[in-house]
Amino acid sequence: MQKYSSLYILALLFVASCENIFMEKDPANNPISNFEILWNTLDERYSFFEYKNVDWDSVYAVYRPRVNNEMTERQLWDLMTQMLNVLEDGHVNLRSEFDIYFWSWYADAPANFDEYLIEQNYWGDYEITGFMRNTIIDSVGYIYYGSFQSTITEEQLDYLADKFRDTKGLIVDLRNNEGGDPANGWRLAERFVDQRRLIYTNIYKNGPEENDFTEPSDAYFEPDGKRIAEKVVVLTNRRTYSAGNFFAATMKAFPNVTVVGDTTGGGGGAPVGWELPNGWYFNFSSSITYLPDGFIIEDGVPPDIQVDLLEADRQKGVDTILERALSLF
Amino acid sequence: MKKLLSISCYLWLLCLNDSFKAFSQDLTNDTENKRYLFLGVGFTGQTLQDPAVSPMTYSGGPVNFTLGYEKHKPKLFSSFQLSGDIGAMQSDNATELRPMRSSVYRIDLQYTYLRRTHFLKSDKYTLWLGGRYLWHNSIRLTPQNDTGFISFLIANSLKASGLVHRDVQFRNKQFSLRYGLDLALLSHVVRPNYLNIFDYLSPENDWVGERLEDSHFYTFNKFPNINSTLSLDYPIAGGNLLRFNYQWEFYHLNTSRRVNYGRHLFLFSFIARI
Repeated sequence: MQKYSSLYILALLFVASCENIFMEKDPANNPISNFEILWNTLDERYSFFEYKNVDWDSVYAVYRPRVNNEMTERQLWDLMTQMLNVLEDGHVNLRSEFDIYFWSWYADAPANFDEYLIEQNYWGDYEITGFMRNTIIDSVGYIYYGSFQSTITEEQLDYLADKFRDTKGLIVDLRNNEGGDPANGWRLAERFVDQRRLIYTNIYKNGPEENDFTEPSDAYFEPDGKRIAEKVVVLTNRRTYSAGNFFAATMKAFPNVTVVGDTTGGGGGAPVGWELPNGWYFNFSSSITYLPDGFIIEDGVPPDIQVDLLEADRQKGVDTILERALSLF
Repeated sequence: MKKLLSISCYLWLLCLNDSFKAFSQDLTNDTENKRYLFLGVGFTGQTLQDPAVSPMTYSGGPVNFTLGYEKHKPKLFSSFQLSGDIGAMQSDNATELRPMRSSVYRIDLQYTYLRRTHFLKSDKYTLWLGGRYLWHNSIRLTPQNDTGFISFLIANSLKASGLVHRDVQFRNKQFSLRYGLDLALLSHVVRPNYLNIFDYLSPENDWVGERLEDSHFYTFNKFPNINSTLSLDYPIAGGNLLRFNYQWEFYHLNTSRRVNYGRHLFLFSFIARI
């Protein structure tokens, strides 16, 4: 026994070193397994079933029988995206190398934005500071900010504060801004809000049951940095989405800001991502945000002044929404 | 799972105990105090199941860098060690177009304190028992997961630790052979929240603090963390050493935010006597 003790210990070491006996088995990579994981993950983590009045179990009853392990990837993709369409949520996405699914929240709304028209008739000799196209129109400062994915720096905002120092106010055009990082919008808004105010409240899913949510968390916002303007008008359309939607929601709290245009597209849940065994990725909304009056912003934030871009004006090179905004100064 | 793990640990310890009894001879006599600095480079094989990232098992071979300080006294062994892993892991289902891949970063800081015991009476083997403090930081970045792209496990553990040492003669050289085993008794573990997301919708939110607030204390039945190390020291000029380590580690977080993690490390170190 003593002679072989070292070998004995060594053998034990290697035998015991196989962690695979402790590991759980991976889910199968077949259409049924992929469907089940997608459905179950949303069932446990999606935040808007009650708000949207969606019976997810009945959705399962409709779609699950149509899944079988003989179907092609494309057939599975089509079936999954049909199922996801039920949620009518632009933050619910499915991504593969051959396609990206999202719900077209703006498809039935008027465009209310014609970039060519504005560039030809309003922007004139504009500057692009960071990613903000800016100019002065009729003594009013104007910034077009097309995506919250584009970083805004404090130095750029200081420059704009100096540039717009003698203007009557500021127009922030967020039309067709489909979102990105909300922090970029906050850096801009800090330069024109008047004082610290409660902007909205967030709750996040924190468990698998339908009503498993975190305690409400109030979000506050306050001014910071060199002021750009006292009076501000924000332009929105139905394609203003996600971080753009949150920006519009934030503006609702400030009396020196007026939102003009169309209701934003929504996207009021924080998207979070996961993956399926076949390597497709998906996003879904995981939170609910509501304004101090209880209004849930998932389906969009209505403007203070509803204005559509009239076709007759557009034909004449006039942006109805921008003109209405200018008339407020 | 828990039962299997408990039985396995029990059998393992039982077998080791039997082995120790077989070596019943006199204690070795080393009266010299020695201090060492060491620097090592290694490669690993790792397996990870982290539902915060994916329903799938990820595996890969990050590289390891280790540096440390050791103090050997006749009846005392202590060491500080800082080590890091960096690399990538992916699912077996990954393809070029469907990467299913995470970048992994791991930093560990540990302090080990062992005292020589006389439970093992042998002229070949010495037994050292004591404890270890381990600060383990494992961070995984999976950009495909959008806002949930960071997953992590941070654990501060107090471990029971043991080591068996034997000197081996080979071609007029004296090698030092050691086998160590430790088990976390109490750990403070930080994991992502249920959704693996932070509240980035609140302008004033301290998102780092928020991410770290979901922490709990776990005893070894909820967070079994086992580490076994076999090392061989080969003497070279000037009292310095070359060391080869094989280390196996496994942990399982037995909660709703479970994690299974296994790691094999092959480490080559230069040990400088100071």
